[in-house]
Amino acid sequence: MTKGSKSKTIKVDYLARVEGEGALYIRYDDSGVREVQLKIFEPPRFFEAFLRGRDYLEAPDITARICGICPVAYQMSALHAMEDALGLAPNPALHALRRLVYCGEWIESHTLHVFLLHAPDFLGYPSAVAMAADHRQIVQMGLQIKRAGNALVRLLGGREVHPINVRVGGFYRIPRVAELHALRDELLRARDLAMDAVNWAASLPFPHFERPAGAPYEFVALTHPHEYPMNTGRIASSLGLDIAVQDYEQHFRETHVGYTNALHSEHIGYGPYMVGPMARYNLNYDRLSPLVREVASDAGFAPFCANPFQSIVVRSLEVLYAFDEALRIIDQYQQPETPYLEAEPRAGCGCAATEAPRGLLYHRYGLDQNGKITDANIVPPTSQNQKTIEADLRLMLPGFLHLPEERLRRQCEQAVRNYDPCISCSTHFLQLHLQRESDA
Amino acid sequence: MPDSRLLIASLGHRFRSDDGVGPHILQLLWRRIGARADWYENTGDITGLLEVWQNRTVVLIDALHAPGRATGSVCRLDGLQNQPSLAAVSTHGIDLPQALELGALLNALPRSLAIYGICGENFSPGLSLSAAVQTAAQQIVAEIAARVISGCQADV
Repeated sequence: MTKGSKSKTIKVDYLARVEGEGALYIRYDDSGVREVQLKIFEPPRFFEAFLRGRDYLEAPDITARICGICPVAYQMSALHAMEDALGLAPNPALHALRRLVYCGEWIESHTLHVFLLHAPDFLGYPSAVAMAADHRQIVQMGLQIKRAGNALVRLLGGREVHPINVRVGGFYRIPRVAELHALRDELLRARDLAMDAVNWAASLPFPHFERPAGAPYEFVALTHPHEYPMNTGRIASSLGLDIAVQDYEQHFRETHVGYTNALHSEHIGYGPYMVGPMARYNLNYDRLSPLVREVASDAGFAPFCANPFQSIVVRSLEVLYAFDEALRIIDQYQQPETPYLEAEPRAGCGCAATEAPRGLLYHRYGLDQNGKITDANIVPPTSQNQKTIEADLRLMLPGFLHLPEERLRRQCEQAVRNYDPCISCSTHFLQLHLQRESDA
Repeated sequence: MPDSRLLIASLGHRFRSDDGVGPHILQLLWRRIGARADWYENTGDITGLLEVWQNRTVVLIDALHAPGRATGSVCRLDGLQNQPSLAAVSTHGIDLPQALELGALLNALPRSLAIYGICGENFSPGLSLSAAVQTAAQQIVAEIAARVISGCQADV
Protein backbone atom coordinates (compact mmCIF):
# COMPACT_ATOMS: atom_id res chain seq x y z
CA MET A 1 0.00 0.00 0.00
CA THR A 2 1.29 3.46 -0.74
CA LYS A 3 2.64 5.05 2.38
CA GLY A 4 1.00 8.35 3.19
CA SER A 5 -1.98 7.74 0.95
CA LYS A 6 -5.41 8.29 2.43
CA SER A 7 -6.70 5.06 3.71
CA LYS A 8 -10.32 4.06 3.44
CA THR A 9 -12.08 1.25 5.14
CA ILE A 10 -13.81 -0.84 2.53
CA LYS A 11 -16.07 -3.70 3.46
CA VAL A 12 -15.92 -6.26 0.71
CA ASP A 13 -18.61 -8.88 0.78
CA TYR A 14 -16.26 -11.56 -0.43
CA LEU A 15 -13.51 -12.21 -2.90
CA ALA A 16 -14.87 -13.83 -5.99
CA ARG A 17 -15.39 -17.57 -5.62
CA VAL A 18 -18.83 -18.47 -6.68
CA GLU A 19 -18.67 -22.12 -7.53
CA GLY A 20 -18.93 -23.61 -4.10
CA GLU A 21 -22.18 -23.39 -2.24
CA GLY A 22 -24.23 -26.09 -0.75
CA ALA A 23 -27.53 -26.18 1.01
CA LEU A 24 -29.26 -28.94 2.79
CA TYR A 25 -33.01 -29.22 2.86
CA ILE A 26 -34.59 -31.59 5.32
CA ARG A 27 -38.29 -32.11 5.73
CA TYR A 28 -39.47 -34.24 8.61
CA ASP A 29 -42.34 -34.84 10.96
CA ASP A 30 -42.85 -36.73 14.18
CA SER A 31 -42.75 -40.01 12.31
CA GLY A 32 -39.35 -39.37 10.79
CA VAL A 33 -37.47 -37.79 7.90
CA ARG A 34 -39.58 -37.20 4.81
CA GLU A 35 -37.14 -35.54 2.45
CA VAL A 36 -33.42 -34.84 2.28
CA GLN A 37 -31.92 -32.73 -0.50
CA LEU A 38 -28.25 -31.90 -0.70
CA LYS A 39 -28.10 -29.02 -3.14
CA ILE A 40 -24.85 -28.42 -4.96
CA PHE A 41 -24.34 -25.39 -7.13
CA GLU A 42 -21.07 -26.40 -8.67
CA PRO A 43 -21.30 -27.25 -12.34
CA PRO A 44 -17.99 -28.72 -13.51
CA ARG A 45 -19.51 -30.16 -16.62
CA PHE A 46 -19.20 -26.97 -18.67
CA PHE A 47 -15.70 -28.23 -19.35
CA GLU A 48 -17.18 -30.88 -21.58
CA ALA A 49 -18.43 -28.13 -23.89
CA PHE A 50 -15.10 -26.28 -23.62
CA LEU A 51 -13.32 -29.35 -24.86
CA ARG A 52 -15.18 -29.79 -28.12
CA GLY A 53 -12.99 -28.80 -31.04
CA ARG A 54 -9.83 -28.67 -28.92
CA ASP A 55 -6.79 -30.79 -29.67
CA TYR A 56 -6.48 -34.10 -27.84
CA LEU A 57 -3.19 -32.93 -26.30
CA GLU A 58 -4.99 -30.08 -24.54
CA ALA A 59 -7.46 -32.24 -22.64
CA PRO A 60 -5.22 -32.96 -19.62
CA ASP A 61 -4.41 -29.29 -19.06
CA ILE A 62 -7.94 -28.03 -19.64
CA THR A 63 -9.64 -30.60 -17.43
CA ALA A 64 -7.06 -29.99 -14.69
CA ARG A 65 -8.79 -26.66 -14.19
CA ILE A 66 -11.93 -28.37 -12.99
CA CYS A 67 -10.36 -28.74 -9.58
CA GLY A 68 -7.66 -26.79 -7.76
CA ILE A 69 -7.21 -29.61 -5.26
CA CYS A 70 -7.11 -32.68 -7.48
CA PRO A 71 -5.95 -31.49 -10.92
CA VAL A 72 -3.64 -34.50 -11.28
CA ALA A 73 -6.66 -36.80 -11.15
CA TYR A 74 -8.31 -34.96 -14.02
CA GLN A 75 -5.07 -34.98 -15.97
CA MET A 76 -4.56 -38.69 -15.41
CA SER A 77 -8.08 -39.70 -16.40
CA ALA A 78 -7.87 -37.46 -19.47
CA LEU A 79 -4.53 -38.73 -20.71
CA HIS A 80 -5.36 -42.38 -20.09
CA ALA A 81 -8.60 -41.91 -22.03
CA MET A 82 -6.72 -40.27 -24.90
CA GLU A 83 -4.19 -43.09 -24.91
CA ASP A 84 -7.07 -45.55 -25.02
CA ALA A 85 -8.42 -43.76 -28.09
CA LEU A 86 -5.00 -43.61 -29.77
CA GLY A 87 -3.87 -47.13 -28.89
CA LEU A 88 -0.92 -45.96 -26.78
CA ALA A 89 0.40 -48.04 -23.89
CA PRO A 90 3.01 -46.24 -21.80
CA ASN A 91 5.85 -48.41 -20.53
CA PRO A 92 6.25 -49.46 -16.87
CA ALA A 93 8.70 -46.64 -16.12
CA LEU A 94 6.24 -43.97 -17.25
CA HIS A 95 3.46 -45.77 -15.40
CA ALA A 96 5.53 -45.61 -12.21
CA LEU A 97 6.13 -41.88 -12.64
CA ARG A 98 2.40 -41.34 -13.03
CA ARG A 99 1.78 -43.20 -9.82
CA LEU A 100 4.41 -41.04 -8.20
CA VAL A 101 2.73 -37.78 -9.15
CA TYR A 102 -0.61 -39.26 -8.07
CA CYS A 103 0.96 -40.11 -4.69
CA GLY A 104 1.82 -36.43 -4.37
CA GLU A 105 -1.74 -35.37 -5.06
CA TRP A 106 -3.27 -37.90 -2.67
CA ILE A 107 -0.97 -36.54 0.02
CA GLU A 108 -1.83 -32.91 -0.76
CA SER A 109 -5.56 -33.46 -1.03
CA HIS A 110 -6.13 -35.91 1.81
CA THR A 111 -3.96 -33.92 4.20
CA LEU A 112 -5.83 -30.72 3.49
CA HIS A 113 -9.10 -32.47 4.18
CA VAL A 114 -8.00 -34.46 7.22
CA PHE A 115 -6.29 -31.65 9.11
CA LEU A 116 -8.02 -28.48 8.01
CA LEU A 117 -11.53 -29.49 7.02
CA HIS A 118 -12.57 -32.64 8.81
CA ALA A 119 -10.60 -32.68 12.07
CA PRO A 120 -12.31 -29.58 13.50
CA ASP A 121 -15.61 -31.50 13.35
CA PHE A 122 -14.28 -34.23 15.61
CA LEU A 123 -12.55 -31.91 18.04
CA GLY A 124 -15.50 -29.56 18.38
CA TYR A 125 -14.19 -26.49 16.61
CA PRO A 126 -15.99 -24.38 14.03
CA SER A 127 -12.91 -24.08 11.81
CA ALA A 128 -9.30 -25.06 11.34
CA VAL A 129 -8.26 -21.63 12.58
CA ALA A 130 -10.13 -22.08 15.85
CA MET A 131 -8.67 -25.56 16.16
CA ALA A 132 -5.14 -24.30 15.46
CA ALA A 133 -5.33 -21.96 18.43
CA ASP A 134 -5.52 -25.00 20.73
CA HIS A 135 -3.91 -27.67 18.54
CA ARG A 136 -1.14 -25.80 16.80
CA GLN A 137 1.09 -28.87 16.55
CA ILE A 138 -1.61 -30.90 14.83
CA VAL A 139 -2.11 -28.24 12.17
CA GLN A 140 1.63 -27.84 11.74
CA MET A 141 1.99 -31.59 11.35
CA GLY A 142 -0.65 -31.52 8.63
CA LEU A 143 1.02 -28.67 6.79
CA GLN A 144 4.40 -30.41 7.02
CA ILE A 145 2.97 -33.61 5.56
CA LYS A 146 1.25 -31.65 2.84
CA ARG A 147 4.45 -29.83 1.98
CA ALA A 148 6.09 -33.14 1.10
CA GLY A 149 3.20 -33.91 -1.24
CA ASN A 150 3.60 -30.49 -2.81
CA ALA A 151 7.29 -31.20 -3.38
CA LEU A 152 6.47 -34.43 -5.22
CA VAL A 153 3.89 -32.80 -7.47
CA ARG A 154 6.17 -29.82 -8.09
CA LEU A 155 9.06 -32.02 -9.18
CA LEU A 156 6.99 -34.31 -11.40
CA GLY A 157 4.47 -31.76 -12.58
CA GLY A 158 6.46 -28.55 -12.83
CA ARG A 159 4.38 -26.85 -10.16
CA GLU A 160 2.39 -28.02 -7.18
CA VAL A 161 -1.06 -27.07 -8.44
CA HIS A 162 -2.26 -27.61 -11.99
CA PRO A 163 0.91 -29.37 -13.09
CA ILE A 164 2.10 -28.53 -16.58
CA ASN A 165 4.49 -31.42 -17.18
CA VAL A 166 2.17 -34.36 -17.78
CA ARG A 167 1.06 -35.13 -21.30
CA VAL A 168 -0.56 -37.78 -23.41
CA GLY A 169 2.09 -40.48 -23.87
CA GLY A 170 4.12 -39.57 -20.80
CA PHE A 171 5.75 -36.38 -19.56
CA TYR A 172 7.24 -33.33 -21.25
CA ARG A 173 10.28 -33.74 -19.06
CA ILE A 174 11.22 -36.70 -16.92
CA PRO A 175 13.12 -36.30 -13.67
CA ARG A 176 16.69 -37.44 -13.27
CA VAL A 177 17.43 -40.13 -10.71
CA ALA A 178 19.31 -37.62 -8.56
CA GLU A 179 16.33 -35.25 -8.50
CA LEU A 180 14.05 -37.94 -7.14
CA HIS A 181 16.62 -39.15 -4.64
CA ALA A 182 16.95 -35.60 -3.37
CA LEU A 183 13.36 -35.88 -2.11
CA ARG A 184 13.94 -39.06 -0.11
CA ASP A 185 14.84 -37.49 3.21
CA GLU A 186 11.84 -35.20 3.20
CA LEU A 187 9.55 -38.07 2.24
CA LEU A 188 10.98 -40.29 4.97
CA ARG A 189 10.42 -37.59 7.59
CA ALA A 190 6.92 -36.99 6.32
CA ARG A 191 6.19 -40.72 6.31
CA ASP A 192 7.03 -40.82 10.02
CA LEU A 193 4.64 -37.93 10.57
CA ALA A 194 2.02 -39.75 8.51
CA MET A 195 2.29 -42.72 10.87
CA ASP A 196 1.70 -40.39 13.80
CA ALA A 197 -1.23 -38.93 11.89
CA VAL A 198 -2.86 -42.35 11.53
CA ASN A 199 -2.62 -42.96 15.27
CA TRP A 200 -3.96 -39.49 16.00
CA ALA A 201 -6.87 -39.89 13.55
CA ALA A 202 -7.73 -43.33 14.92
CA SER A 203 -7.97 -41.84 18.42
CA LEU A 204 -10.62 -39.27 17.47
CA PRO A 205 -14.13 -39.66 18.89
CA PHE A 206 -16.31 -41.08 16.11
CA PRO A 207 -20.07 -40.79 16.00
CA HIS A 208 -21.42 -44.31 15.74
CA PHE A 209 -23.14 -45.02 12.45
CA GLU A 210 -23.47 -48.12 10.37
CA ARG A 211 -25.90 -48.91 7.63
CA PRO A 212 -28.68 -51.32 8.60
CA ALA A 213 -28.24 -54.85 7.30
CA GLY A 214 -30.88 -54.33 4.63
CA ALA A 215 -29.27 -51.19 3.20
CA PRO A 216 -25.53 -51.78 2.99
CA TYR A 217 -23.21 -49.52 1.05
CA GLU A 218 -22.18 -50.59 -2.39
CA PHE A 219 -18.49 -49.69 -2.52
CA VAL A 220 -17.16 -49.05 -6.02
CA ALA A 221 -13.49 -48.64 -6.90
CA LEU A 222 -10.81 -49.71 -9.28
CA THR A 223 -9.09 -52.95 -8.43
CA HIS A 224 -5.78 -54.18 -9.74
CA PRO A 225 -4.09 -57.53 -9.22
CA HIS A 226 -0.77 -56.07 -8.10
CA GLU A 227 -1.32 -52.46 -6.99
CA TYR A 228 -3.43 -50.41 -4.66
CA PRO A 229 -5.42 -48.69 -7.40
CA MET A 230 -4.56 -45.29 -8.77
CA ASN A 231 -4.21 -45.12 -12.55
CA THR A 232 -5.39 -48.43 -13.89
CA GLY A 233 -7.52 -51.45 -13.14
CA ARG A 234 -10.98 -52.91 -13.48
CA ILE A 235 -14.06 -51.42 -11.83
CA ALA A 236 -15.29 -53.59 -9.01
CA SER A 237 -17.89 -53.32 -6.30
CA SER A 238 -18.71 -54.88 -2.97
CA LEU A 239 -21.85 -56.37 -4.57
CA GLY A 240 -19.82 -58.39 -7.06
CA LEU A 241 -19.47 -56.04 -10.02
CA ASP A 242 -16.27 -56.63 -11.98
CA ILE A 243 -16.10 -54.83 -15.31
CA ALA A 244 -13.64 -53.25 -17.68
CA VAL A 245 -13.55 -49.45 -17.55
CA GLN A 246 -14.85 -49.43 -21.14
CA ASP A 247 -18.15 -50.84 -19.84
CA TYR A 248 -18.67 -48.14 -17.21
CA GLU A 249 -21.53 -46.39 -18.99
CA GLN A 250 -23.42 -49.64 -19.44
CA HIS A 251 -23.54 -50.09 -15.67
CA PHE A 252 -23.70 -46.57 -14.27
CA ARG A 253 -26.10 -43.79 -15.17
CA GLU A 254 -26.17 -40.07 -14.42
CA THR A 255 -29.47 -38.27 -14.07
CA HIS A 256 -30.35 -34.65 -13.58
CA VAL A 257 -32.23 -33.81 -10.41
CA GLY A 258 -34.02 -30.49 -10.32
CA TYR A 259 -32.70 -29.13 -7.05
CA THR A 260 -28.96 -29.57 -7.68
CA ASN A 261 -26.44 -28.79 -10.38
CA ALA A 262 -24.43 -31.93 -9.70
CA LEU A 263 -25.78 -34.88 -11.59
CA HIS A 264 -26.78 -37.89 -9.54
CA SER A 265 -25.14 -41.19 -10.39
CA GLU A 266 -26.52 -44.63 -9.76
CA HIS A 267 -25.49 -48.18 -10.42
CA ILE A 268 -28.13 -49.29 -12.88
CA GLY A 269 -30.40 -51.83 -11.22
CA TYR A 270 -28.82 -51.30 -7.81
CA GLY A 271 -29.04 -47.61 -6.89
CA PRO A 272 -26.68 -45.36 -4.92
CA TYR A 273 -23.08 -46.36 -4.42
CA MET A 274 -19.98 -45.02 -2.72
CA VAL A 275 -16.64 -44.15 -4.28
CA GLY A 276 -13.58 -42.82 -2.51
CA PRO A 277 -11.11 -43.84 0.17
CA MET A 278 -13.46 -46.19 2.05
CA ALA A 279 -14.42 -47.97 -1.15
CA ARG A 280 -10.79 -48.32 -2.22
CA TYR A 281 -9.72 -49.49 1.21
CA ASN A 282 -12.50 -52.04 1.58
CA LEU A 283 -11.96 -53.49 -1.88
CA ASN A 284 -8.16 -53.35 -1.94
CA TYR A 285 -6.94 -53.69 1.65
CA ASP A 286 -4.62 -56.56 0.75
CA ARG A 287 -2.85 -54.38 -1.87
CA LEU A 288 -1.74 -51.88 0.74
CA SER A 289 1.92 -52.07 1.70
CA PRO A 290 2.88 -54.19 4.72
CA LEU A 291 3.79 -51.04 6.65
CA VAL A 292 0.34 -49.52 6.17
CA ARG A 293 -1.43 -52.72 7.18
CA GLU A 294 0.80 -52.98 10.23
CA VAL A 295 0.11 -49.39 11.28
CA ALA A 296 -3.63 -49.89 10.74
CA SER A 297 -3.56 -53.05 12.84
CA ASP A 298 -1.53 -51.41 15.61
CA ALA A 299 -4.04 -48.57 15.68
CA GLY A 300 -6.84 -51.10 16.07
CA PHE A 301 -8.32 -50.25 12.71
CA ALA A 302 -9.99 -53.16 10.94
CA PRO A 303 -9.42 -54.15 7.29
CA PHE A 304 -13.02 -53.18 6.54
CA CYS A 305 -14.53 -49.81 7.43
CA ALA A 306 -18.31 -49.38 7.45
CA ASN A 307 -18.62 -46.15 9.43
CA PRO A 308 -18.20 -43.13 7.12
CA PHE A 309 -17.14 -40.97 10.07
CA GLN A 310 -14.01 -43.12 10.20
CA SER A 311 -13.11 -42.20 6.63
CA ILE A 312 -10.68 -39.71 8.20
CA VAL A 313 -8.64 -42.71 9.37
CA VAL A 314 -8.76 -44.30 5.93
CA ARG A 315 -7.54 -41.07 4.37
CA SER A 316 -4.69 -40.96 6.85
CA LEU A 317 -3.78 -44.54 5.93
CA GLU A 318 -3.86 -43.65 2.25
CA VAL A 319 -1.52 -40.73 2.93
CA LEU A 320 0.87 -43.14 4.64
CA TYR A 321 0.53 -45.53 1.71
CA ALA A 322 1.28 -42.72 -0.74
CA PHE A 323 4.56 -41.97 1.05
CA ASP A 324 5.47 -45.65 1.18
CA GLU A 325 4.65 -46.12 -2.48
CA ALA A 326 6.49 -42.95 -3.48
CA LEU A 327 9.62 -44.13 -1.71
CA ARG A 328 9.34 -47.55 -3.35
CA ILE A 329 9.02 -45.98 -6.80
CA ILE A 330 11.93 -43.61 -6.18
CA ASP A 331 14.17 -46.41 -4.94
CA GLN A 332 13.44 -48.51 -8.04
CA TYR A 333 13.47 -45.64 -10.50
CA GLN A 334 15.37 -45.90 -13.74
CA GLN A 335 15.04 -42.96 -16.05
CA PRO A 336 13.01 -43.88 -19.15
CA GLU A 337 14.78 -43.49 -22.48
CA THR A 338 12.15 -41.13 -23.81
CA PRO A 339 9.91 -38.79 -21.83
CA TYR A 340 6.84 -39.66 -23.86
CA LEU A 341 5.52 -41.89 -26.59
CA GLU A 342 4.51 -40.23 -29.84
CA ALA A 343 1.02 -40.79 -31.18
CA GLU A 344 -0.60 -40.26 -34.54
CA PRO A 345 -4.00 -38.58 -34.29
CA ARG A 346 -6.83 -40.78 -35.48
CA ALA A 347 -10.58 -40.93 -35.21
CA GLY A 348 -11.84 -42.96 -32.30
CA CYS A 349 -13.24 -43.06 -28.84
CA GLY A 350 -11.38 -43.63 -25.60
CA CYS A 351 -12.24 -43.82 -21.94
CA ALA A 352 -10.48 -44.24 -18.63
CA ALA A 353 -11.12 -44.17 -14.92
CA THR A 354 -8.54 -43.34 -12.30
CA GLU A 355 -8.78 -42.98 -8.55
CA ALA A 356 -8.97 -39.32 -7.60
CA PRO A 357 -8.56 -38.69 -3.87
CA ARG A 358 -12.36 -38.45 -3.64
CA GLY A 359 -12.95 -41.56 -5.72
CA LEU A 360 -13.47 -42.93 -9.17
CA LEU A 361 -13.10 -40.31 -11.92
CA TYR A 362 -14.34 -41.40 -15.32
CA HIS A 363 -13.53 -39.67 -18.64
CA ARG A 364 -14.64 -40.53 -22.17
CA TYR A 365 -13.66 -38.65 -25.33
CA GLY A 366 -14.48 -38.89 -29.00
CA LEU A 367 -11.81 -37.78 -31.48
CA ASP A 368 -11.95 -36.97 -35.19
CA GLN A 369 -9.24 -37.98 -37.67
CA ASN A 370 -7.22 -34.84 -36.81
CA GLY A 371 -7.23 -35.55 -33.10
CA LYS A 372 -9.82 -32.86 -32.33
CA ILE A 373 -12.26 -33.65 -29.55
CA THR A 374 -15.80 -34.22 -30.81
CA ASP A 375 -17.43 -34.98 -27.48
CA ALA A 376 -16.50 -35.52 -23.86
CA ASN A 377 -18.06 -37.07 -20.81
CA ILE A 378 -16.63 -36.51 -17.34
CA VAL A 379 -18.11 -38.13 -14.25
CA PRO A 380 -16.56 -36.73 -11.07
CA PRO A 381 -16.62 -38.54 -7.75
CA THR A 382 -18.90 -36.03 -6.06
CA SER A 383 -21.81 -36.70 -8.38
CA GLN A 384 -21.29 -40.42 -7.88
CA ASN A 385 -21.45 -40.01 -4.11
CA GLN A 386 -24.30 -37.54 -3.92
CA LYS A 387 -27.14 -40.06 -3.64
CA THR A 388 -25.22 -41.96 -0.98
CA ILE A 389 -24.60 -38.77 1.01
CA GLU A 390 -28.33 -38.10 1.00
CA ALA A 391 -29.08 -41.69 1.94
CA ASP A 392 -26.62 -41.45 4.84
CA LEU A 393 -28.36 -38.32 6.10
CA ARG A 394 -31.76 -39.94 5.76
CA LEU A 395 -30.62 -42.90 7.83
CA MET A 396 -28.66 -40.87 10.37
CA LEU A 397 -31.12 -38.08 11.03
CA PRO A 398 -33.65 -39.95 13.14
CA GLY A 399 -30.87 -40.40 15.66
CA PHE A 400 -29.95 -36.71 15.54
CA LEU A 401 -33.28 -34.90 15.48
CA HIS A 402 -33.40 -34.52 19.24
CA LEU A 403 -30.34 -32.25 19.02
CA PRO A 404 -30.62 -28.46 19.14
CA GLU A 405 -30.73 -27.00 15.65
CA GLU A 406 -27.19 -25.66 15.68
CA ARG A 407 -25.77 -28.97 16.85
CA LEU A 408 -27.91 -30.78 14.29
CA ARG A 409 -26.55 -28.58 11.52
CA ARG A 410 -22.99 -29.29 12.59
CA GLN A 411 -23.68 -33.01 12.70
CA CYS A 412 -25.12 -32.90 9.18
CA GLU A 413 -22.14 -30.93 7.91
CA GLN A 414 -19.78 -33.45 9.45
CA ALA A 415 -21.68 -36.28 7.76
CA VAL A 416 -21.42 -34.53 4.40
CA ARG A 417 -17.73 -33.80 4.94
CA ASN A 418 -17.10 -37.51 5.44
CA TYR A 419 -17.11 -37.57 1.65
CA ASP A 420 -14.85 -34.54 1.14
CA PRO A 421 -17.21 -33.36 -1.58
CA CYS A 422 -16.26 -30.75 -4.13
CA ILE A 423 -18.47 -28.06 -2.66
CA SER A 424 -17.63 -25.25 -0.36
CA CYS A 425 -16.16 -26.71 2.77
CA SER A 426 -15.86 -23.44 4.60
CA THR A 427 -17.25 -23.24 8.07
CA HIS A 428 -20.75 -22.17 7.15
CA PHE A 429 -21.09 -23.91 3.85
CA LEU A 430 -24.44 -25.44 4.65
CA GLN A 431 -27.60 -23.55 5.28
CA LEU A 432 -29.92 -25.94 7.02
CA HIS A 433 -33.60 -25.51 6.32
CA LEU A 434 -35.59 -27.69 8.65
CA GLN A 435 -39.24 -27.86 7.89
CA ARG A 436 -41.61 -29.58 10.26
CA GLU A 437 -44.57 -30.96 8.34
CA SER A 438 -47.05 -29.29 10.67
CA ASP A 439 -45.45 -25.89 9.85
CA ALA A 440 -45.57 -26.38 6.11
CA MET B 1 15.79 -14.50 7.06
CA PRO B 2 13.25 -12.51 5.08
CA ASP B 3 13.38 -13.04 1.34
CA SER B 4 13.90 -9.63 -0.18
CA ARG B 5 12.45 -10.51 -3.57
CA LEU B 6 8.95 -9.30 -4.23
CA LEU B 7 6.36 -12.07 -4.59
CA ILE B 8 3.44 -11.35 -6.89
CA ALA B 9 0.58 -13.79 -6.43
CA SER B 10 -2.87 -14.21 -7.86
CA LEU B 11 -6.03 -15.98 -6.81
CA GLY B 12 -8.74 -16.90 -9.24
CA HIS B 13 -9.97 -19.30 -11.85
CA ARG B 14 -8.88 -18.66 -15.41
CA PHE B 15 -12.02 -20.27 -16.80
CA ARG B 16 -14.55 -18.27 -14.77
CA SER B 17 -14.62 -15.03 -16.76
CA ASP B 18 -13.88 -12.05 -14.46
CA ASP B 19 -12.61 -14.41 -11.78
CA GLY B 20 -9.62 -14.92 -14.06
CA VAL B 21 -8.43 -11.33 -13.78
CA GLY B 22 -5.83 -12.26 -11.14
CA PRO B 23 -3.95 -14.80 -13.26
CA HIS B 24 -4.47 -12.53 -16.30
CA ILE B 25 -2.69 -9.65 -14.56
CA LEU B 26 0.02 -12.01 -13.39
CA GLN B 27 0.67 -13.01 -16.99
CA LEU B 28 0.80 -9.39 -18.22
CA LEU B 29 3.07 -8.36 -15.37
CA TRP B 30 5.38 -11.27 -15.96
CA ARG B 31 5.91 -10.10 -19.53
CA ARG B 32 6.80 -6.63 -18.24
CA ILE B 33 8.99 -7.40 -15.22
CA GLY B 34 9.61 -11.16 -15.34
CA ALA B 35 12.92 -11.52 -13.54
CA ARG B 36 12.36 -8.73 -11.06
CA ALA B 37 9.86 -10.67 -8.96
CA ASP B 38 8.79 -14.16 -8.02
CA TRP B 39 5.43 -15.40 -9.25
CA TYR B 40 2.74 -17.58 -7.75
CA GLU B 41 -0.63 -18.43 -9.24
CA ASN B 42 -2.91 -19.95 -6.63
CA THR B 43 -5.80 -21.88 -8.06
CA GLY B 44 -7.74 -22.92 -5.03
CA ASP B 45 -5.61 -24.45 -2.31
CA ILE B 46 -5.10 -21.38 -0.18
CA THR B 47 -2.84 -23.21 2.26
CA GLY B 48 -0.24 -22.89 -0.49
CA LEU B 49 0.01 -19.20 0.40
CA LEU B 50 1.32 -20.15 3.85
CA GLU B 51 4.23 -21.90 2.19
CA VAL B 52 5.23 -19.17 -0.23
CA TRP B 53 4.53 -15.86 1.47
CA GLN B 54 6.17 -16.25 4.87
CA ASN B 55 8.17 -13.16 5.77
CA ARG B 56 8.00 -11.75 2.26
CA THR B 57 6.77 -8.61 0.56
CA VAL B 58 3.69 -9.81 -1.26
CA VAL B 59 1.31 -8.37 -3.80
CA LEU B 60 -1.88 -10.41 -4.12
CA ILE B 61 -4.30 -9.85 -6.98
CA ASP B 62 -7.82 -11.18 -7.13
CA ALA B 63 -11.27 -10.49 -8.45
CA LEU B 64 -13.87 -9.16 -6.06
CA HIS B 65 -17.52 -9.91 -5.96
CA ALA B 66 -18.85 -6.76 -4.39
CA PRO B 67 -22.45 -5.99 -5.27
CA GLY B 68 -23.06 -2.28 -5.29
CA ARG B 69 -19.57 -1.38 -6.45
CA ALA B 70 -18.89 -0.51 -10.06
CA THR B 71 -17.47 -3.23 -12.26
CA GLY B 72 -13.78 -2.59 -12.79
CA SER B 73 -13.34 -0.49 -9.68
CA VAL B 74 -10.16 -1.36 -7.82
CA CYS B 75 -9.80 -1.83 -4.07
CA ARG B 76 -6.31 -1.56 -2.66
CA LEU B 77 -6.09 -3.15 0.74
CA ASP B 78 -3.34 -3.69 3.25
CA GLY B 79 -3.98 -7.35 3.87
CA LEU B 80 -2.28 -7.36 7.25
CA GLN B 81 -4.24 -4.41 8.57
CA ASN B 82 -7.64 -4.57 6.93
CA GLN B 83 -8.76 -8.11 6.55
CA PRO B 84 -11.83 -7.68 4.47
CA SER B 85 -14.88 -9.79 4.95
CA LEU B 86 -14.19 -12.55 2.50
CA ALA B 87 -16.04 -15.67 1.55
CA ALA B 88 -14.58 -19.05 0.80
CA VAL B 89 -11.96 -18.95 -1.91
CA SER B 90 -11.98 -22.65 -2.61
CA THR B 91 -14.61 -25.31 -2.75
CA HIS B 92 -12.35 -27.48 -0.67
CA GLY B 93 -10.08 -25.38 1.41
CA ILE B 94 -9.71 -22.42 3.63
CA ASP B 95 -10.25 -18.84 2.58
CA LEU B 96 -7.92 -15.86 2.60
CA PRO B 97 -8.86 -14.48 6.04
CA GLN B 98 -8.40 -17.95 7.49
CA ALA B 99 -5.03 -18.20 5.77
CA LEU B 100 -4.07 -14.93 7.41
CA GLU B 101 -5.31 -16.11 10.80
CA LEU B 102 -3.53 -19.43 10.44
CA GLY B 103 -0.42 -17.60 9.30
CA ALA B 104 -0.53 -15.50 12.46
CA LEU B 105 -0.94 -18.61 14.64
CA LEU B 106 1.84 -20.50 12.86
CA ASN B 107 4.24 -17.59 12.40
CA ALA B 108 3.79 -17.82 8.66
CA LEU B 109 2.63 -14.35 7.67
CA PRO B 110 4.08 -12.19 4.94
CA ARG B 111 6.08 -9.15 5.96
CA SER B 112 3.70 -6.99 3.99
CA LEU B 113 0.65 -7.85 1.93
CA ALA B 114 -0.86 -5.51 -0.61
CA ILE B 115 -4.13 -6.80 -2.00
CA TYR B 116 -5.41 -5.48 -5.30
CA GLY B 117 -9.05 -6.41 -5.75
CA ILE B 118 -10.85 -5.81 -9.01
CA CYS B 119 -14.64 -5.78 -8.91
CA GLY B 120 -16.06 -8.17 -11.45
CA GLU B 121 -19.57 -8.75 -12.69
CA ASN B 122 -19.49 -12.01 -14.61
CA PHE B 123 -18.22 -15.15 -12.91
CA SER B 124 -19.85 -17.69 -15.16
CA PRO B 125 -17.79 -20.24 -17.08
CA GLY B 126 -15.83 -18.53 -19.83
CA LEU B 127 -12.55 -17.03 -20.87
CA SER B 128 -13.28 -13.34 -21.43
CA LEU B 129 -13.05 -10.47 -19.00
CA SER B 130 -15.64 -7.71 -18.84
CA ALA B 131 -14.46 -4.56 -20.62
CA ALA B 132 -14.23 -2.57 -17.39
CA VAL B 133 -12.26 -5.36 -15.70
CA GLN B 134 -9.91 -5.51 -18.69
CA THR B 135 -9.30 -1.76 -18.38
CA ALA B 136 -8.69 -2.04 -14.64
CA ALA B 137 -6.25 -4.88 -15.26
CA GLN B 138 -4.18 -2.70 -17.62
CA GLN B 139 -4.18 0.07 -15.05
CA ILE B 140 -2.97 -2.22 -12.26
CA VAL B 141 -0.29 -3.75 -14.47
CA ALA B 142 1.04 -0.30 -15.32
CA GLU B 143 0.93 0.79 -11.68
CA ILE B 144 2.72 -2.24 -10.24
CA ALA B 145 5.25 -2.46 -13.07
CA ALA B 146 6.18 1.22 -12.74
CA ARG B 147 6.77 0.84 -9.03
CA VAL B 148 8.80 -2.32 -9.36
CA ILE B 149 10.91 -0.90 -12.17
CA SER B 150 11.59 2.26 -10.18
CA GLY B 151 12.61 0.13 -7.21
CA CYS B 152 9.76 1.15 -4.93
CA GLN B 153 8.80 -2.37 -3.92
CA ALA B 154 7.87 -1.30 -0.48
CA ASP B 155 5.30 1.01 -1.96
CA VAL B 156 3.65 -1.62 -4.13
